[in-house]
Formats: sequence, structure tokens, C-alpha cells
Amino acid sequence: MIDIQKITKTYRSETKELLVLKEATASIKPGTFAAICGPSGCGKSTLLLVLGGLLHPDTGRVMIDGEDLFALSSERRALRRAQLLGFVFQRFHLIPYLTVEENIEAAAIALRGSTDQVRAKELMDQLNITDRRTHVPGKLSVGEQQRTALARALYNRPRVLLADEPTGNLDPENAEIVLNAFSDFANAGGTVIMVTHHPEAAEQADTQWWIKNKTLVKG
Amino acid sequence: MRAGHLFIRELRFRRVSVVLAIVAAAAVSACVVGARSFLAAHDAETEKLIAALEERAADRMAQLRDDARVFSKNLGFNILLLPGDQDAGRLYAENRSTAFFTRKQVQALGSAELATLNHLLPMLRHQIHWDQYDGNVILVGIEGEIYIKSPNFQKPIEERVDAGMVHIGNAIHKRLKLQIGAQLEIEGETFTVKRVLPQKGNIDDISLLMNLGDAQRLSGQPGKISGVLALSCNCAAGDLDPIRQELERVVQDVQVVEFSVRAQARQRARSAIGKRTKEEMQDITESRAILRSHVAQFATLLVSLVVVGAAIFLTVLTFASVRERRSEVALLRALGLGSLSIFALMLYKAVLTGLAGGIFGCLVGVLAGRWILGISATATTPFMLSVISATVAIATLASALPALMAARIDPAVILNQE
Ligand SMILES: Nc1ncnc2c1ncn2[C@@H]1O[C@H](COP(=O)(O)OP(=O)(O)O)[C@@H](O)[C@H]1O
Ligand SMILES: [Mg+2]
Repeated sequence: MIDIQKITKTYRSETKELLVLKEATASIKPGTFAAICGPSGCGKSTLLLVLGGLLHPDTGRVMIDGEDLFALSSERRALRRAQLLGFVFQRFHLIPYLTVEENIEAAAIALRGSTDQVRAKELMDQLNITDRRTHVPGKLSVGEQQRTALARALYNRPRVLLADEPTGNLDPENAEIVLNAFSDFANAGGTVIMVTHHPEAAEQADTQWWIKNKTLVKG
Repeated sequence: MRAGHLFIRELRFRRVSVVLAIVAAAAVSACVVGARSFLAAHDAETEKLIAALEERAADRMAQLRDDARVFSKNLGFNILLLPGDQDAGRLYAENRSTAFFTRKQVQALGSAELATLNHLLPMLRHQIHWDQYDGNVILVGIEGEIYIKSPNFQKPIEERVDAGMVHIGNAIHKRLKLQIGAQLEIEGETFTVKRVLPQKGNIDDISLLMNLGDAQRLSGQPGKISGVLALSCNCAAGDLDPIRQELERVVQDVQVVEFSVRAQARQRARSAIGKRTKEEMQDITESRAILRSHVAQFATLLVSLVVVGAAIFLTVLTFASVRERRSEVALLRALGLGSLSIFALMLYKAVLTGLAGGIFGCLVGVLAGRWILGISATATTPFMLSVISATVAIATLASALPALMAARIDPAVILNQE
């Protein structure tokens, strides 16, 4: 269960202040694939970063299974992030010198666990990148890169997937693979929160939320 | 996956920049080790130079000492001892003695263990008119050197002359055409020529060297000794005071006359050369010391420049690497690594490159010293360990700021860039 409680976020620079979110509130149950929609610049990514514990809100709370993310120390929050959350970005953020398999296994870098090669193999099979196992990201197609990033997000068996425009750079075929994987993840009991400004992508989700007037509105 | 695995993969991926960093760090340690080898080489060369100079000086001195010995030997006796009341005027003008040593005095000289005189030859000199020569000649009676208890006593300078024999001066030989074995008559006595003396250019050329007893009888001065010829030891050459002081204790009232000026000159030259060599050595030592301080200053400057240059280079290199790795760092943060881990990750790299560069540079420095300067064993283990640690410290400090920057990267900003 993810509870977003009255999140307010202002970007401050020396010259100006920009209020992006104002008391955004939502509640997303486990087993839900939720899409957060809205035009470019409305604050979707900002909200996602707050949900991921990477960006401090001015006020408000993010509760994940009853635990207030920002009440934790930064170390514990980082650990929770590694344990509970998986990220998928529009720009993949793969590590250029690691192979596909190593990029997937890098998800556990903060958990200090031993490498689970069976899990990596399972995900590569599932996402059809096993034959790219030893290739570095530079040698992969865009779709393969996002599938690798997706496998990395799933590697630690997180409870929540946070995706920021995951299909933004993909062809329809690969977009569908990714969206289907999200549906599968939600059907298996996980929570997916995907932000996008593509209505077609949002349609695949179980519930849609809109950012309107800096706040969340269920659509 | 562990951070260590990622670390090693990154090193392999950015090997060019890693090699550059190692080379920069190696430049530091190689420069320090090289500078030290260079200074050591300089010192060794100075030592060699001084040693060579010392050796040459010692050679020259020994040569001169030998020269002096041969010289004074060739010149014969250089000291004449005369009774204190000898009238010098009559002696030089008429070659006649007015005072004489007693037998006892002469014996006392022989048994006195003199340190300043090496040879003692008692003699009687007396000028006579010789009819056969149609002029004045000098009778010189000698009996052979008296034994002297001296550590320096060597072969006698002048051999003894037997009774009835005579050694004739060169001028007499020339005028009278007397050969060895010829007979001659002095005051009614017949003598046989035993030797013809070489030309000396002094009064010796008109002397007749004979047995002391013969000379005493012919000159009507039986038992008289007019003087004692002596050879001063080298230690006393050029300075008669030590001789006088020593003689004072043995016989009262002796005149000491030195007459061998060339030996004196030699002796003076010898001490002058000794002094000059010492000065020269001091000059060289001083100028080498000045040169060394210049070289040391230059080495310090060079090392400082290399250290500063390498530090700047390493800082820039790490900055560039951090810039390049921003996305990676943001991702690692999203994956749960703390900023301290990021800082450590960056710093480990600096420590490792500093260590590798330090060791490599030491090796290069030592080998270069060995091959180029021919110096070995100047770089001791503690010295190299301190150079390596210093290199590690420099590399770490140079990377500290960029590493801090990496640690402070805000993942939210990087991850939200489209
Ligand atoms: N780090 C930041 N500092 C200042 N302004 C920012 C920063 N990140 C985003 N913004 C601004 O906040 C607004 C919302 O950005 P964002 O959340 O990225 O929108 P979206 O993802 O919906 O396109 C935009 O106007 C953007 O320019
Ligand atoms: Mg966005």
C-alpha cells in the first residue's frame, strides 16, 4: 500500500521559486498498475522522485506499507529503496562498462548479498535478452537496453516499481513488452506507478491519475 | 554484485585514464627518487674527485720527498758543524781553521742518538801550497762516517779513504793529467790516485781527499778535527733551529751552517705544494658544495613542479571522470548506495593509482639511476616506502575534491534530465 499524503514541493533557486506540487494526495493498493498522466512539465517526474525517496518534499508524507519514508535516516531510506523499490527511467541509466547480466545484478549492490545468477537468468529469459547476456549496453538496441533496465528493476523482487516515461524512447513493440511486464508484476501482487504523458501507455494501466493544478486527481 | 566488482570493471573500462593517472603519479615518485640518485651521484663524484686529488697530492709529495732525498744525497752533506770559536773570516779567506773539535766531542755526537742529523763525517780541512800543482790546494782528511744511532741511518755518503790513497779534485785532474793509479807527491810523501772526483764547480775541484791521519800529519795538525759534515733529516731541512737545539744538549758551543741551497729550495717547494694542494682541495670542496646546493635547489624546484603538475593533472582527470560518471553515480544512489560509498569508490581509485604509480615510479627512478648515472643502492627501502606513501597521499589529496563533488551529486537532478 502506498499512501501519498499532501505532498508539496517547491523548486527554489536564488532568483525564483517554482511550486510544482501542492498537497498531492493519493492511495495506491498493492496489485495495482497505476499511471500518473499529465503534460510535460506538470511535475510527474518530481512526484516519482519523491515517491522513490530521492527528493525531499517540502511537506507531506510518503507511506510505504505504513512506513514513513522521509522519517527514516538517509542511510535507512537508501536501504529501503534498495529493498522495496525498483526504478525504470526513460533514459535507462545503464552502467556502460558492465554486461547485460552484470547491469541486472548491480541492483543488489547496496544489499551486499551474493549474486543470484539464477534470478538474473530467469529475468533475461523472461525479457528475451539472454543471448545479449555478455554484451555491454553500447552494443544493445534501445529496446534491449530498456528491457535490461527493467530486469534490473525486478532483480531484487521489489514491492513497488517506479517508472518514469519507460516507453518514451521505445518502438510500439518494445513498449508493449515493457507494459505487459508491468501488468504481470501488478497481477503478481506488486505495485506499479508509471508516469507518462502518452495516453496510449496510460490506457494499459488499471487506474489513471492526473496532475491537475499541481495536485493529483483520479481519472 | 559487490562494489569491488564494479570498481574493477570501471578501472578496466577507463584504462586509458587509469594509465594516465598512474603515469602522473609515477612521474612524482620517479622524480623524487631520480633527484635523490642524481644528488647521490653528485656526492659520489665529489668524493671521487677529492680522493683523486688527495692521491695525486700524496704522489707528488712522495715524489718530491724522493727527489729531495736523491738531491741532498747527490749534493752530499748540507750541514757543516764548526767549533763555536772558529773564525769564519779566516776559514773562508784562507781555508784555515782556528779552532778544533776534541775527539771526545766527536764521540759524543756519534752516540747522542740525534734525530735531526743523519750522517756525520768528521774532517780536517787545510789549505797548502802544492808545488806539483803550482798553486794552493785544499787537503781534506776524512776517516769515514762515524756511526750514528739514527733510525734514518743509511749507506754512508762518503766512503772512507785509506792511508796513502788520495781522491783528486776535477781541476787538479785536468791540470796535471793524473789518472787513477798515478803517483803524486805532497810534502815529500807519495800518494796513489784512487779516484778522480766529478766536477763540482766549487772549491772541491781543487781538493785532495785523503785519510784523516795523512791530512793531520801533512798539515802539521795531528789529532785535530776542524769540522763535522752532516746531512740534516728532511724534517729539519730549511730550519736549523731544531738542529741547534738538539746539539746544544750534546756539545756546547757549536756553529751550524747550512750550505746546500738547492735542497733547501726543494724542501720549500714541497711544503708550498702541500699547502697549495690543501687550498686547491678546499676550493674544489667549496665549489662542489655550492654546485651541490644549486643542484639541490634545482631538484627541489623540479620535484615541486612535477608534484604540483601531477596533482593538477590528477585533479582535472578525476573531475573529468566524475563528470562522465554522473549518470552512473545517480543510478548507484537510486540503487541504494550512500554518498559516503560514492566518495570511497572515487577515493579508492586515487589510492590505487597512487600506489601503482608510486611503485612504478620508484622502479623507474632506481633503474634510471642505475643505467644512466651508474648509481646503485641509493634508494633504501624506508626511503622508497615514504616516497610511495607520499605519492599515494598526493594522488588522494588531488582526487579528494572531485570525489567530494561526486558524493554530492544530487541523483534527483541527474535522473530527471531528459
Ligand atoms: N531540479 C530542478 N530545479 C528547478 N526546477 C526543476 C527541477 N526539476 C524540474 N524542475 C521544473 O519543475 C517542473 C516539473 O518538472 P518535472 O517534474 O520534470 O515535470 P514532468 O516530468 O511532468 O515533465 C518543470 O517546470 C521543471 O522545469
Ligand atoms: Mg518527466
